[in-house]
Parts: sequence; C-alpha cells; structure tokens
Amino acid sequence: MDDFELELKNDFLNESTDLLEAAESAFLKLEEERNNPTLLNEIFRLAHNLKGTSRAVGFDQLAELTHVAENLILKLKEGSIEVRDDVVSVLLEFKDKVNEMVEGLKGDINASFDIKSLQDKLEGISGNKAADSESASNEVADNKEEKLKVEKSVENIAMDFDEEVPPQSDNRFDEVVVEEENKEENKEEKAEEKVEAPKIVEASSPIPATPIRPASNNVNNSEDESIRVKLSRIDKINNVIGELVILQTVISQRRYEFIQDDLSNKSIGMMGKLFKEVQEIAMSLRMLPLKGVFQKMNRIVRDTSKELKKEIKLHMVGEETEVDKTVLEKLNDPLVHIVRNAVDHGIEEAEERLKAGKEAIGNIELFAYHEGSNLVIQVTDDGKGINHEIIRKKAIAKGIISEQSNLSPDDLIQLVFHAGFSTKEKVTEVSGRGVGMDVVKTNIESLGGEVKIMSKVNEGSSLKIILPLTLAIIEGIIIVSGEEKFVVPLTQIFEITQVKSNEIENFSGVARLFKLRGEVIPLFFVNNKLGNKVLELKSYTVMIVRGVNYNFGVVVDDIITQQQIVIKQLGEDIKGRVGIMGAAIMADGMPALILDVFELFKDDLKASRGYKKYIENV
Amino acid sequence: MNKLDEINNTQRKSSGEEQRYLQFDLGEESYAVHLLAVKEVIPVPETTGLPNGPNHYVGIMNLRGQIISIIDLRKKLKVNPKKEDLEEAVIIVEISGVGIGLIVDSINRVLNIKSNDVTEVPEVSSQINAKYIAGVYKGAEKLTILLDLESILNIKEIKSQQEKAA
Repeated sequence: MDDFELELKNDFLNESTDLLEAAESAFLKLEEERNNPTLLNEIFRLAHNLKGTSRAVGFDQLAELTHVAENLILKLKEGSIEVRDDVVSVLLEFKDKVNEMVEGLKGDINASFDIKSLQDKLEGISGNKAADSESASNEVADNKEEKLKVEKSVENIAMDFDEEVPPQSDNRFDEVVVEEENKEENKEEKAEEKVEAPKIVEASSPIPATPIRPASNNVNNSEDESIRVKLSRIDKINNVIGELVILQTVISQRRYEFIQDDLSNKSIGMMGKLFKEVQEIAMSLRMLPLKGVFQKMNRIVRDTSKELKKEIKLHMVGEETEVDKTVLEKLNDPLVHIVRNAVDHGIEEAEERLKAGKEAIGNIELFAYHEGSNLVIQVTDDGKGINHEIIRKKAIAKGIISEQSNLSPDDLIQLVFHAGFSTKEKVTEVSGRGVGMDVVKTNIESLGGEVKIMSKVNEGSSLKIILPLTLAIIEGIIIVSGEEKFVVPLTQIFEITQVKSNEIENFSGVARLFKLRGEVIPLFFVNNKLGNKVLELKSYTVMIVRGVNYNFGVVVDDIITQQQIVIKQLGEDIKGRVGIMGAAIMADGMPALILDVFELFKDDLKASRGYKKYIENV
Repeated sequence: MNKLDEINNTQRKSSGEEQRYLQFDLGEESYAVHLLAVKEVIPVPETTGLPNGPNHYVGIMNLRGQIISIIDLRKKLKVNPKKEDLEEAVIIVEISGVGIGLIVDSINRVLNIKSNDVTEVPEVSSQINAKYIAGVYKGAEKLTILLDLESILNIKEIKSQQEKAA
C-alpha cells in the first residue's frame, strides 16, 4: 500500500467518527419519531455516504456491511418495514460494529472482522434478500460509485465528511435521485399499494433543484460553517496572546509617567481592550458543546434501562453549553457512571414507582449551564433517593465513620463518594462494585472541579458537578516556603487557619497533630518536602486539606493571596516530579511551581492513618 | 526520525560535508553545539528554583510563555568557570521536542566544520564525561570540543518516561 492510499484510509478513519455520532443520534431519534421521512432520508444518506466512501478508500468489509444496513434502511424509507424496537436495536448494533471496525483499523490498517453474524441479522430483519427493484437501483448506484472513484480524488474523500464542496455533493444527489426514479418505475410496474411511495417521490424530487447548503446541514445539524483546526495551533495562539496581554499591561502601567502624548495614551488603552477581547476569543476556540457527550448518555440510558427492564426518559437541557475540549473528554467516563447509577440504583422498577404514587416511567434530567467562570452539570432523577440512615449504618459497618460520629444527613449522603462504598445488595453487571463513585469524584477533582450529591428519600437524587470552564486557568493560593513562592490550587484547600504551638501535640516524636473542632488533624510541613528549613514558631499558618478519608493540615511559611493563575506545562525534562503538577506565571512574569499536596504528602498520609486511628480510639 | 535527529546523526558519518556549529567557552576550553539545535541566545535570566533538584539544575524560566529549564553547563560537565568576567550567556537548545537552556561563560562564533576535520573522542585528559562528547574539531588556533546534546539532555531517559506515562 503506498503512502497516498494509506493517507486516504487514515483520513477516512479519523473523520468517520463525526459521521457515526450523527448516525447514532439519528437512530435514537428514530425510536421517538418513527414516521419521519426527513429523518429516514437523512439516515439513508448517512449510510449511503459511508458505504460509498469506505468502498472508495478500499475498506471492502466495511462497505459490504454498510451495504446490507443500507438495504434495511431503504426498506424503512419505503415503508415496507416498520420502524420497530428490534429494528432500531439492530441499527444501533450496526453502528457499534462499524465503530469497532474503525477503531480496529486505526490500530491495524489491514485488520479484518467477523461481520457474518451481523450481516445475517440485518438481512433477516430486512426480510428476503434485496428485492428486484433494489438490486437494479443498487447496480446503478454502484456504477456511479465506480465513476466517483475514478473521476474524483483525495479532496472529495475528505470532503464527504465536511460536505462543503459543491461539485462533489452534486453527484451524491444524482445517485439518490436515480435510485428513486428506478424505484418509482418498478413500483408502478408491480402496481403495489405503497402509501409511503408518493411521499418519498415528493421528498426526493426537489433534491436536484435544491442548493447544496441545506442538504449538507442535515449532517451537521448546525447553521455555521466549520473547519477542523489542529489543537497545537490554537495553543500557540493562546500563548502568544497571553504574552501580548502581559506586555500591554506593562506599558499601560508606565504610560502616565513616561508618555505625554494623548493619542499614544489613548491608543495604549484601546490596545488593552482589544487584546483582552482577542484573548477571550482565542480561548473560546478550544471550546466544544456538550452535545456529543450528552448524546452518548441517550444511548446509555436506552441500553441500560432495557437491560434492567425499566422505562426511563432522558431529558437534556443545555447541550449547546460549551466547555474546553480536554475537560469534555474527561467528563465522559464520570458522566457515564453517574447516569448508569441513576438508572440502576436511582430509578425504581415500574411497580414500585406506581406504588409510591409516581408515574411508571422514570425521569432523568441532564442540565448544563454556565455559572460565573464555571460549568455546572446536574444529573437529576426522580427515583427513590438515598436513605441517609442506610448510608450511616453501612459506613459504620465498613469502618468509614465511627458510631459516635454526628454527621448531618447531607454530609452522610456525600459518603457515597467514599472508596469501597456500595449499598446495593446485589452487584449487578451495570454497577454496584463499589469502585465507581469515588473514581468519579477523583476524576472531577483532578479537573479542578467538585461534585456534590443531594437527595430526598422517595423523591429522587441530584448530582451537581462544578467544573472550571477551562483547564488552563485555575484559582490558586500563593504561598511562601523559604524564599520562594508556590501555588496551591484552591480546590485542594478546605480552610486556612492559624495554629498555636501549644495546641500541637507531638505524638511519640513520629508526628504532630492538633484538634480542629473535635477532629484530630495530622500536621505536615511543606518546607520538609521543598528542602527548606522548618522554623519553630509560636504560631503556624496551616492550610486544611480535605483528604479522601480524612482531613490533614499543611504548614506553610506564609500565605500571600488568592488569584487566578494560568497553568503552564513543565518542560519534558522535569515533568513528572512528585508533587509538582505544573508551573504558573506570576504577575511579575516569573514562573512559580504549582504543588499537588495530595501527591506531595502521599507517604505521610499513609503513615498517619495508623496513628490517627490509635489516637481516636484512646 | 525528524530532520534534526538526522542532521545530528550525520555528525558522526564522514561525508566531507560542512556543518555549522555555535562555539562557546566553558572555563579554559572552547566547545560547540550543532547550530540547528540552537533556538536562541539570551542573557542569564531570573529563574525559579526547583526543590531538591540536581546540582547543575538552576531553575525554570518563563520564555515568552513557555516554561524552560536552565542548567549550568559548567557544573554539568564539571568544568571550572572562568574566574573573571561574566559575559555569561544562556543558549536555548531544542532536541526531539525537548527544550532547555544552557549557561555558558561566553559565546564566541559560528564555525563551519567539515566532518573530515572532526576526530573521535580525544585522548586529551579532560574532566568531562566522555559520553557527552561527540568529537573534537581541530580549528586554526585551538581545539573545539563538540558536544552530544542528546546525551547531555538525557533524551533517551525522557522519551522512555514519556512512554511509560502514556
């Protein structure tokens, strides 16, 4: 295989993801709107597109499989087969298989797959093998495809998915129109009563006359044109703009002293405003709508609820809400787990619901919105809620809290995020292994966010995820250790307090502890980790950190201020140093290291667990 | 293999072609690195120290928004710096995507070196670790020691760590 062919194939693989996502959405929509001709047309176009292009780049198995699916879709379009549940299921299965094949091909370009069983299934549901009319129209379509392959070249393959090149699109419509015409003739010949046929004819005849743009919109479902851009280019722009903003600030601060000229001063002021605006736009380039992730949830709810034999409706609000690309990618797994949980643990079975006076169909709502400089996502269900009494008993049984602990119901509920916690009696395949929620919490927190759960027994539960809009900027506390400034992300700090030296207990020379509102808090010294001297003082500045299992305190030399900081990657040579998660540029342009207190004190935390328990039980 | 690696590797082949190097001083001797690896030369910047870093590691600096490590090449190669004057400068180099700044005593000039004029590691008794040396160039006046940046920057180790992390 030469380079050119390889490139064609890889381009196809990379760009098929969008197509597949669109297909999945369309299939799911089909379940709701079973007689929507526009939708059926769109689905047919997607399948036809996929078939043509996969064949053109040489992925024959893929083309073959898609061909069979296309036949089924054709029958749906004509109305000779009804859109039933099992039909939609097999279409979704088809999409999954294609996904699997695309991923497999990405790894090994020559991979081959077992498509026979799915092919048979598809054919089975389609009824007999392709009817005469179909094979006739397919032949014509095939010939057109051969022509396509020969006449057009690379641009078109890539363009198929962007659907922005008019001439190439034209051909696609020619194919569809030809097929329709053939079918019409055959139908007339067979004189079969097909109520759907006239509708199809009407829908298809405008196609040649219609300008290109509206049709391409079907694939994207958006009014805007868009273009694929390398993420690295956007990052470069953001870097340079960041520097410009800093330089402008420097000049701006000096202008009244050193620049007499009015016009210069005004210009400098204007520059500042414009730079800020450009900065906002450049940052927004990395933002993507939540839509993709939300659509996946649709699928998850459908599959999981069918598996558990519950009827659940998913409502989505705010799917156009945008968030940074990297945050979006990391949101997927936590959200999947949360939604699965809601379906499995939250929503009761129909009988139970009716007994409780609710409607048999359960509801789950995904609600996303911007609040200040944060993104908020709420997952709410109207299920049975969380019983804090049960939580309490379970937590005590697992040794997570003590009998005497007097946590409020609200606090008790947050314990579901604790490692090793699961109150479900049966561990189902879906969830219940007890490792999920704590991973969700750590994932969200690693993004600099927080997650909280609220619940009312019998009414339902609501999980709130708060995330910073971009990973690149976080709120940080500037601390001093020795002579240097360091940054600690605000999300790691629960409270800041002064502790007098006489409040500190020295435990067998091994550790220092103090009591905060009845809780025993181990004390660690940041200077120890940073190679600076620990001074003996009358009073210490302590940051209280909320640990996974319990809180701990970190002593610093001083705390200067809280401010927004831009996170910069460390060079490859020093990346991965324990306890340092990156660098930040301070107001004076100097870099400061960002500390990860959890990593920094990992060993001390392990050791302290032992003596903390001992002290509490004494 | 990117172009830079290819070029660096051709240092070792005898092709008779000319390559350009940036010559600088460390202590009493002259050294040089391949010009294509050099991104820029700057005065010694203010840096933020790295806790518990190695001896030759000076700190990190903000180079137009990018965080770059600065190391003292004299300490790394265990060479005594020139006592007097400080025309110290920092050479920013980049190899295989890894960028770093090297503090040197002074920058001299650009040399055009034919690979035929380069001999393998010298018998000259030097305090420097032989693995950092790619060869020796016999110039008109004195010897210039050509450095192997990949080895000094520990690229192999960095790359394997990247792979582990990935």
